[in-house]
Amino acid sequence: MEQLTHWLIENVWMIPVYPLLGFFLILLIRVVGGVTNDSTKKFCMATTVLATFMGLMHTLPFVSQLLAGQLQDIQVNVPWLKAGNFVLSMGYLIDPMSVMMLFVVTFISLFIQIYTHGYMEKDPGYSKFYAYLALFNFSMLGLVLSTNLFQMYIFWELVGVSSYLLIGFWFTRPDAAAASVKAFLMNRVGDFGLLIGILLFLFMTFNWWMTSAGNEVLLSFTGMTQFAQAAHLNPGLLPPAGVMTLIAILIFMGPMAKSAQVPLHTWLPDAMAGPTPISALIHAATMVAAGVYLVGRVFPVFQLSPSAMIFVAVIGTITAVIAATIALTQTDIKKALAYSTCSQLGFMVAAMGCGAFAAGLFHLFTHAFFKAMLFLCSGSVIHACEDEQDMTKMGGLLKKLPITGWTYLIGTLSISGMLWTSGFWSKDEILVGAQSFNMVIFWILAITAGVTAFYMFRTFYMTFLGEYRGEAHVHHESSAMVLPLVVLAVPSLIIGFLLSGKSGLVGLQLPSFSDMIVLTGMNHGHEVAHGATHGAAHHGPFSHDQIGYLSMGLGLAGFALATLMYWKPLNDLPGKLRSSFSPLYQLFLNKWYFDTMYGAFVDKVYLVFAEASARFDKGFIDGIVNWTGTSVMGTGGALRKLQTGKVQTYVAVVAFSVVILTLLLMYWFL
Amino acid sequence: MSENFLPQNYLTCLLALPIVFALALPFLKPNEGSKNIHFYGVGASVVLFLFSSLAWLVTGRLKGDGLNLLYNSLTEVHPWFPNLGIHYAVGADGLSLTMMILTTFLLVMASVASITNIKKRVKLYYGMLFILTTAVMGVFLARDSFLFFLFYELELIPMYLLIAIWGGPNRKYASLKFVLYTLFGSVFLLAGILGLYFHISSTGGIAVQGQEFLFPIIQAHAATLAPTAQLLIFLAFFIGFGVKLPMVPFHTWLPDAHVEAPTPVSMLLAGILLKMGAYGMMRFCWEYLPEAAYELAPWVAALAVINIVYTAGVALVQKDLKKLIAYSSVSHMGFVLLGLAAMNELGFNGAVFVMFAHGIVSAALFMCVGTLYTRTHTRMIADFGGLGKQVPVIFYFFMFMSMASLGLPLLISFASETLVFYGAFLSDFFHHTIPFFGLKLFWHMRLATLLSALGIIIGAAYLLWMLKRVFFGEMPKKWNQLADASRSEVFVLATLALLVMGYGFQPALITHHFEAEVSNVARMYPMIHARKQMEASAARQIKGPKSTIKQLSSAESISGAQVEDTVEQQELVTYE
Repeated sequence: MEQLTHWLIENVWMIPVYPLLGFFLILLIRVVGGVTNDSTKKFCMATTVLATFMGLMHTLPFVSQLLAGQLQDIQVNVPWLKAGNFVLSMGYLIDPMSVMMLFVVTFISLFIQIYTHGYMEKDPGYSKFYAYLALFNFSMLGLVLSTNLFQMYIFWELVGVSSYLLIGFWFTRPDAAAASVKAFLMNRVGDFGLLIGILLFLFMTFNWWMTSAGNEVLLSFTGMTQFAQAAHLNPGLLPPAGVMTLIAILIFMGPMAKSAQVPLHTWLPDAMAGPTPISALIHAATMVAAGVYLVGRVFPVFQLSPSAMIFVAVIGTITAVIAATIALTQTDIKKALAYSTCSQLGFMVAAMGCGAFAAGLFHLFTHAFFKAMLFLCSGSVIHACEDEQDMTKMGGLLKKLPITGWTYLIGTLSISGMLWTSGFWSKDEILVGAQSFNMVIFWILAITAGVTAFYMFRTFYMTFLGEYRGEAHVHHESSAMVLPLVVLAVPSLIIGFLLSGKSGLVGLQLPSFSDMIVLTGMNHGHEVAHGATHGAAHHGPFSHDQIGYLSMGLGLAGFALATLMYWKPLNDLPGKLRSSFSPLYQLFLNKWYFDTMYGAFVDKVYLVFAEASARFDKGFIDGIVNWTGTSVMGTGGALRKLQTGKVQTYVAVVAFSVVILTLLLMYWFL
Repeated sequence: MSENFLPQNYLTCLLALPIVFALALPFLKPNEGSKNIHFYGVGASVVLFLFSSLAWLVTGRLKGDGLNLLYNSLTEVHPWFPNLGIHYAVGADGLSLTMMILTTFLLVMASVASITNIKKRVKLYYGMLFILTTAVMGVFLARDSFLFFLFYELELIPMYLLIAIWGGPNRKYASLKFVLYTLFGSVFLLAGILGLYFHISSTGGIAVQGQEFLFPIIQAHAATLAPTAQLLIFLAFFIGFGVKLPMVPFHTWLPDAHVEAPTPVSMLLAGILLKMGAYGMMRFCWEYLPEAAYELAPWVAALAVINIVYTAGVALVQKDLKKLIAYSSVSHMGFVLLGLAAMNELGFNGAVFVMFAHGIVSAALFMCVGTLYTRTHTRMIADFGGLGKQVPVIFYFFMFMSMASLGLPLLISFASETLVFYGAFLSDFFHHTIPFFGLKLFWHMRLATLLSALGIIIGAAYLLWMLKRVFFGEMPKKWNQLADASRSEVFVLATLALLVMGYGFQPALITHHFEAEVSNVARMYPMIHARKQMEASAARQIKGPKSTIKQLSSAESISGAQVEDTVEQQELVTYE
């Protein structure tokens, strides 16, 4: 056992390699095997699941070390790209943050892959789906283990392409085709900012990297933390404040796209055109949280610019509100959940901006479990209703799908932050952080938490209670799909409490999340470190407990309102509200017109510009070329007429030329 | 491995080998469908590739002095027209060898691709292909500028015929345009070469008599040119090679040539012929005329931005699939310009790496387009749709290569473009403020990089949009008889895909072949920069006091004589 643990720890770099090998193995089978029968399908599934399982096994020793407070950071780098003295490296970094994320990704991934077997069994692309899943796992785990910003950019783009492939998995459907392209392009816009941000940061701090941080890998996270600390002691290292803010905002463009923050959020709801396991894994639990993870990684750099922190907090808050309001109007169950993901990501980002670093990551952690589970529940429902996603054609499904229904309820409670479920604890931390930052943001987030409870219970009531309104014959739940739900329900309920720092109440001695997840390379007790880990805790008008009661109270209000309106609709209350707040309802229903604006920009501005360029290219530039060609030919033709063969003409020309030349010579020399 | 591993006249053999292959062709008797000719063509190009890879393998293992010894031993110089100073001189270095291996490798790929694409006059076709190979390799290996020019022009003839005989319906226009346009560039090129020649022969003295065209002599003496003359010669070379690169606004021959050329010829055109321009530019402009390059860097950076962003925009709205890929090819060559404008190790390494990566990826993309065209006989994007289900193999290769082209990490273009982006952004050789209708416009490499990076968004946009329109969605009924990729096509695409992945995963495998030499070129620039800075500050010092003096004299506190004294003293100080 001891030896095994040792081996697992030594070879932790294998974590992303397993799924990569799995991907190539499946590729090989598909290329060589050609036909896919049942056994090869099973084999592909087993390969992917095993690869993820091995990743989880490698992670567990670190998790136990982390919980025991004995985690030793590991950082290994190898040069990857170099020119002269300039070296960009890749490697792996084991520290509390990466271990937490590794656990989330491998654990959730494993159960979603099992679930996928049930969901995709009849799909002709079954083994391809597992290949893509393996590719995604490789990219995501590589991202989590990145030691430096450059490496993270690499895997950042790779998760993007996995997401593209999986959203467009059913590429014959027009909506999936469009959504995949949109997701990729919108993320490219974010990546553009990220790239320029990285470059600007490097440009501004290049001397520091080349001199004082001689032993640090270029752009490494530990190096960035050290830079931030050095800059606190010696502000001369810092670029001008405006540039620092620009750097942070440009870097933040990456997370804005990947974590679907306003205004780069519109790809996420569209991405629901992909198969539901993907929505759960990539577009709820892991990849979209990568943005928050990145902000966490470069947090010390963000802290160097107070304006950038405000920017991050404001963007997060706006996202939380806008997405929540849109979620109110959605009737497609997956779209509603997607907007709720968007809104929750806004909470996390806002927490980061408020300086409540650990709170943001804590919410990432708990959200991953309950949101993955909620999506899997929705998948189970959709599967049972023969691909129906419209909640107005559901209802009363609790009887037919009891496990799905009850786990969905658990998820709903958790995301609403009620009854000491996981979501309660993490949302509580965020509100604590927000109150010490700004009361406006605090109140907006607190009320949005209430709205969250409302729209989540709305989906629950519409889907699971009342009378069945659809035509499709409802199937029963399959075991491969139910097991992951039950497994994920457990952390959705209790993991927040276990890591809330109050686990002593039930006799466990687990550290609190904020004590556990600290920034690597940070000297403890330092000002930055303190701000980073504890979010300058506990000051503001409310005590920690009061905030707990407040958020639960607002959640209960949302729950009560939803119950009033949707349990047994009295006199069509939703309809009345809809008509009396018509402009607002239209605004929410049309998703605040973001897509309309982007569509208009692309169609009316960029494409017009591109068309004009093409016409300029064809007409003007090539026009000149062709004109030159034809005029040369024309001149040639004209000149040919000169060679008449008539001596008289020649003599006349010669005489004329001599006169002209003589005149010219006289002009020059006399 | 010792440096004597390769025969003394290895490079000459290499250049002669394709000619020998071509000369043997008339004696072959084609059988049914000319299968044996195809077999011969592919076999011969494989032999050539293996022979050329000897140098690649040997140089890959050597470092430092050993490598230089090898390069010296490979160099061959024989007087050709002694009284004109023209030599037959060939030689190699990391840059030349990288381009050479790319040439022979793509020749193999093009030959295999020819099996399905070329049906008529196969013997003549392979003859032209081999002569083309000699010409292109000659360009990369020549060490005498006149010989260089000859090879550069020789390439035109086979290429003209390859497009004019085996091309599409509008081939006459396209091939003529190609030739005339390149000749237009060649005029500038010749002017540049002769300019250098006359300068060296008039100032070089007896020591260089009769060697004026040799590269080392050019390198040693180009710096003594007057600044204006350097600029003029630089511009001549820059325009000459810019036509080939191609650089906006000299690029319009390329889409036409590509559209009409048969698939294998397109692969070679994009894969290696454009690299002749990039190679020449790097060699003559940036290696031999660094001061002019330094002076003109702001303009080059601006042209690079236009090349990348403008052509990407044009690519976005193309209706013809092959034109789209052609414009994307032009767009990516802009990264070569950007890397060159950066004038540092990263930028130069990136530029060479982009040349190589672009060679592989654009050849592969043209192959993909070709596979679709041979089946459907249309290139209009609107005619396609939903082909993903019908021809999955082509679809996945096309998607993979598009991903490579749009710079997906761990694929070859990403590493090369990363070098260019990092190099360009970190380069800090110029910083200008340009007055523009009362506004102050800044122009420096950071801004140029920022604008070029827009190319990664637009690049993704046109490729993904194209993929969506061609392969996604519902398929029109007319295509339901379409056959998937044949074995030879899969071979070509899979080989290219392996390279794309292999070099993408481990870029050091390719960069270490040219890193030393290319970085050496870059080391000149900080020195030039330092000197220019010193000159500029000296000029400022002279100027500076004058302005204060003006204020002083306007206050009439110092007499005119005193003012002149101060100025003279100041000048003395700066010139000491």
